[in-house]
Amino acid sequence: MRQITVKHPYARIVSGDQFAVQAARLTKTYGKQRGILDVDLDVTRGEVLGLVGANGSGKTTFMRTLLDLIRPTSGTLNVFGHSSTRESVAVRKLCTYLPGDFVVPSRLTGYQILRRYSFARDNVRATDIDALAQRLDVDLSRRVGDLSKGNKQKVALVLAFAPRAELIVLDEPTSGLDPILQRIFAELVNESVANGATVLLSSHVMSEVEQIAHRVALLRNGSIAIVDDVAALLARSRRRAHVRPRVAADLSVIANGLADVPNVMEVSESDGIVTFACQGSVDPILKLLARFEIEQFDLMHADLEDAFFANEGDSSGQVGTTP
Amino acid sequence: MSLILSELRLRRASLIVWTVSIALLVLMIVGVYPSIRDNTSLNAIYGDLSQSAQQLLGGSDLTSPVGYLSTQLFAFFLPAVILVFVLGRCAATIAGEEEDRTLDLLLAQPLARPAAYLEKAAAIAIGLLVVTLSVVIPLLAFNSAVKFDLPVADVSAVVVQMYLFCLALGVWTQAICAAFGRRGVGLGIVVGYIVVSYLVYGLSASIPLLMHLRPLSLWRWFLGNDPLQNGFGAAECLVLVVTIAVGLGAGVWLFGRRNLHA
Repeated sequence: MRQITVKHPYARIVSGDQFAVQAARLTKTYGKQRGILDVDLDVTRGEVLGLVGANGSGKTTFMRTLLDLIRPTSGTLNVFGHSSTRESVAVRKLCTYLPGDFVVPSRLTGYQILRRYSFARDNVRATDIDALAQRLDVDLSRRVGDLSKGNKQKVALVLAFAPRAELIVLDEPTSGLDPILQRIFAELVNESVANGATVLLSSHVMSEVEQIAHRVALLRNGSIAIVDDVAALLARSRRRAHVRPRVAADLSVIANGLADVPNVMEVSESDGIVTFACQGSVDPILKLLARFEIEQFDLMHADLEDAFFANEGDSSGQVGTTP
Repeated sequence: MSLILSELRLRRASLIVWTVSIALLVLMIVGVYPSIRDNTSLNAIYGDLSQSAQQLLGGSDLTSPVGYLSTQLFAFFLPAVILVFVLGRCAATIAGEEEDRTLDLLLAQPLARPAAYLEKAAAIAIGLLVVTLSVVIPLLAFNSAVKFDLPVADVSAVVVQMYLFCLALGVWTQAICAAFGRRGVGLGIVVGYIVVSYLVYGLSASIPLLMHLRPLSLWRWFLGNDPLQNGFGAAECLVLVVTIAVGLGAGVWLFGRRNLHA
């Protein structure tokens, strides 16, 4: 069990719960729009949980329900033991929120935006704001309307990370960020977690989340399809690989050898390359290949999406199927 | 309290423009008075009109101080201009921000929805007060110079009743807009009410049937006691204050139970 440490100014209203967020049979339906259905989800204090799903799968609905911007149709949602509906002010005191669509009055400067959208928080320090702005290389004295999409998103990140929040709720936080800023973003998440915060972030791109999150929850059509550790999912996921031997005659030998390795599948050869998929340890594969002169060996990054769908296959008896 | 300041800061520039513009407008109308004061033939223009038309236009006397200010400022023109200001603000403050998708970020802060609603209404009330003062100050400053020589209490009465009248309509605009999350709905309903109730108030002078509907017109509670002539009307002020209070309560309740549009 994760050790509970409370370092934040709101220790007084953060109860000793192990969970930062607890949703029980949470349902939200409204009009013709799809909401969420019977969502059971626990976010452990101090973890980074990634909510992943296609557009319209219910990620934003879950986050907006947490902040009491919309009310659940049924079920409960607690944040550090506080009800999201009955104690919404206490909940929001513990959270910062970055909406998926960061729209703010364009005539205001970055500083004015920060003042407008965090005046009710007493855990924001000017020194933290300036340090964060400097780190993200964004000029907060410029009008937001004059900033590029990336720089606007930096202002949004300052708004989310400058207050020392217990729970940081980020809806599609990396959209518009270049790779360098994505790395800084990952650092900010890690540092916040190191300081005791919990992070709930969403994305429709699995690869973004797997770099940062400890656990991932896949939402599909408003329901949680699966929740699991990123590490466990990666271990189960299949990785594609290509091998090009220097001697063409070795091609068939390698292909036949790989076909006999238990965790290797879908072996094929064409144009002097053996292509295959593997799961789990690559040790037997490397030992096999070491016997040959290899010109090129590519092992693709494990894709959580594959792992998710493989798991779904488990439940339907179609082990290892890919979409 | 912080949200009131934030709201005032956000709309500071436009408030200054409105205040200066209305002060200049009032100054202009006040400044014209000496040139028509002695031209009693002007009274014939309105004198031939029906009683209803006279009520709609603020009377038939264009040359006396009370008649001039009634017909040229308070009967319709000035409240209409101030209503454009206040209705615009009231529609924008919640529904406008919701339509612009900036409300989520504001209410993601630790603010209770009823408090946020009331603080936004209070900021508009303060803005309206500033604009209203831009009417009073030129009127009183030139009260003697242009020989209005009106009692300060009577000028205060009409201005206070106008303030309450505009605020009441603004409060209901905010409530209806916030209830639907759409600017157009509240503005449509309230502007429709203003026009119809104005006609009811005016035409009731000559159509007895409409006399029964007169109490439903807020124009009656703004101008019905001729405040510029008779001073404060206790019943008038009470009705307007109660309308404001009920509007605030309705708005808090309607907004508080809603799902905000994403």
